[in-house]
Amino acid sequence: MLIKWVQTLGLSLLLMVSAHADLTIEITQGSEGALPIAIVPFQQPVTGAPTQNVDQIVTSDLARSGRFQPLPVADMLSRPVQPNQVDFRDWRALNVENLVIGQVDAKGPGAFDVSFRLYDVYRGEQILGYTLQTSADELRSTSHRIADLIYETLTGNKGAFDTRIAYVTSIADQTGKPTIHLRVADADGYNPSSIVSSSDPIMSPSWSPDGQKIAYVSFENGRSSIYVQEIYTGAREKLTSFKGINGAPVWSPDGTKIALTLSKGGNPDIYIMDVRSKKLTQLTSHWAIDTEPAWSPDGRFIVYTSDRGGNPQIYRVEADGGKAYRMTFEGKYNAKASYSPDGKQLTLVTRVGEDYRIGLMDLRTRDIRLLSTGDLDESPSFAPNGDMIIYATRNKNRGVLAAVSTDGRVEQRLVLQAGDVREPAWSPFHQ
Amino acid sequence: MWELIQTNQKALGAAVGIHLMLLLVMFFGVNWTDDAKPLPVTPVVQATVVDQAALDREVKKLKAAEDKKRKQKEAAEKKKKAEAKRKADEKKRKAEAKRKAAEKKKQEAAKKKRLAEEKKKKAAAEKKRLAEEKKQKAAAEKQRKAEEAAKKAAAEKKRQAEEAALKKAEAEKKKAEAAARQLELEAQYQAEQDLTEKQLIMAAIQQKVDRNWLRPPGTPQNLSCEVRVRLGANGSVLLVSIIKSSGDVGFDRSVESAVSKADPLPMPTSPRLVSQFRDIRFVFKPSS
Repeated sequence: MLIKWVQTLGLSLLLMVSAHADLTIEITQGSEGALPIAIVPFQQPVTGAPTQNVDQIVTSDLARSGRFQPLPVADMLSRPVQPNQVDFRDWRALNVENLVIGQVDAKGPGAFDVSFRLYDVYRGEQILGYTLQTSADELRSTSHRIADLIYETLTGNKGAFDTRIAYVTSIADQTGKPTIHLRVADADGYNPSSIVSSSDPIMSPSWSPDGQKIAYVSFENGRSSIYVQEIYTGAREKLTSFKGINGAPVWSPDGTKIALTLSKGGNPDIYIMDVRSKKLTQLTSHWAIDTEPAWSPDGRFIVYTSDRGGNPQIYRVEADGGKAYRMTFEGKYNAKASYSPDGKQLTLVTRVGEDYRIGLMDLRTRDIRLLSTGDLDESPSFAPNGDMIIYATRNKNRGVLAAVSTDGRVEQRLVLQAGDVREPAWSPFHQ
Repeated sequence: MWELIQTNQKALGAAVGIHLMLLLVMFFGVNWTDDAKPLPVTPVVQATVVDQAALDREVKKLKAAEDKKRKQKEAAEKKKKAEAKRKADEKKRKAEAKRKAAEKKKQEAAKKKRLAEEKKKKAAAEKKRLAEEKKQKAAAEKQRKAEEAAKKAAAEKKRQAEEAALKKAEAEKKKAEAAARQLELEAQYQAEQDLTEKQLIMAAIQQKVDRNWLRPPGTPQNLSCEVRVRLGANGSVLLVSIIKSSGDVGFDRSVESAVSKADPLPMPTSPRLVSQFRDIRFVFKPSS
């Protein structure tokens, strides 16, 4: 009797416990979409307000990523600056999940403190808060850093807003004579500055892994040469100037080597040059054209474009040599491949009918997903966080830059750069 | 007495029968000896034959006849004597027989009388004995019957008591069973009600959270995240804690936000169920 009672008690206890633990509800529907966020205009100092608008830079950064859907300022029910002015009900009513408030305080001539707070609206709590010291010149960069902090906090991925892009642009003067510039700008296209200018073509900029140097191809003096140039000092070094093609330089992930295309052997093949010793190793040797090399993030592989199969396709070879392995089979044109930072995807240019589009290939499934919608899109380059790709596209017969989120949801042209813009390259993380 | 007779008809019948038989015997009696009868006597036949030549022979014959005659006379004399003697003997024997018969008759009568007396005495004794026996028997019977009746009554009483107890126990058992059944039914009904309500509320919660779940664009299908949610009695979300992360911060955040945005969650009305709903595990797993 007692035993039975004990058993019963034990059983009921067990049932009670398991009943608690067992109430499980599966959520499988939901929807996918950008996160609704509100960035309230930051309070500006009464005097000496900066020319740059921090909240607008943050807003457009987050919007461009495709991961966020900022609430238009006009729709806001209140515009709090201080924490005690925040009424979460205002924001819940607008289905906003996160809220950013802040202010810019003048701290002497050209110096500012930028303070901001990030809130979780539904939990009603602050999840991030910083005060950053900056200057008028650095205010855009500081704004990008704020966007990066918010992005990283809410998505878990490092933000790539405070990074830069290199690109080539051709600007004609009054007489119509073009000047070619290799330019570096903020990732949103602002703050462009030329690091090389020439009347001859400049091609294929490639960032060194530390973000301090750029390798590129220049046709100055009438023949192609590969240069490596320090961005801030302008100091440059000619790496190769062989007969024929000297093209498509690309830094290895550890920065000790550069893969490139040379036709000194008669037709274009991939070579690897040791940056310090300048020692050259031929990687591919084929009668067809092999070009546009790119390193895998672990430095083990090099992918490149070859037309050995009759039309341009992507091949892969181990960086220390070996057999070529064809990676793309879809369509008649796949070129200019490069690895995503996590090494799981390739971005490439693929021809769809008569159009050239940016594609994203899953290396596991080998499926290629189209990311862009233009007719002559080229030179895709991953952001260092892998969440976005920048590429060149045509707009009214003029080259412009566009960025697309890797899920393909948001495609956005960057602010207008002057001239005919081509060949963008996204920098590594700011160091 | 009547009751006794009534109840002992068989015994009474037997007694009457026995008496009747005795009376019959006494009236008719039984002669156990036969009468003795004298034996019959047979007479003797005489013949004579004479011849000359045969005189000698006759003389001889006469002589012989004389002789024979004398002898016959002697024989007749002897026979007469013998006859007389036999007759006297006969007479004597007959008298003796008569006397013996009379004696025998006398003895017979005495014996008969004695036997009758003995019989009568015996019958009387038997009657007495029977009466005594009957009386004793009746008394014994009476006592037996009384005892039997008492025993029977006691047994009946006991049986009735047992039956009553059994009936009572049965009734109680039935009652208890009915009560248990009722409880069981009620519990079952409640359980069904609870289950129905539980399922309804779970579905309502699921819907509300689903509606509020906005995951990052391009979320891989293989991500999943488990959270434990503590709720107030009114369904208000008190605590959301991740017990199994998807490994993706954005995804995890979307899960936490979904629960927070769904605050308050639907709650059952039954207080028994409310406690079950105060602690819920959610598994977020996008399906294509």
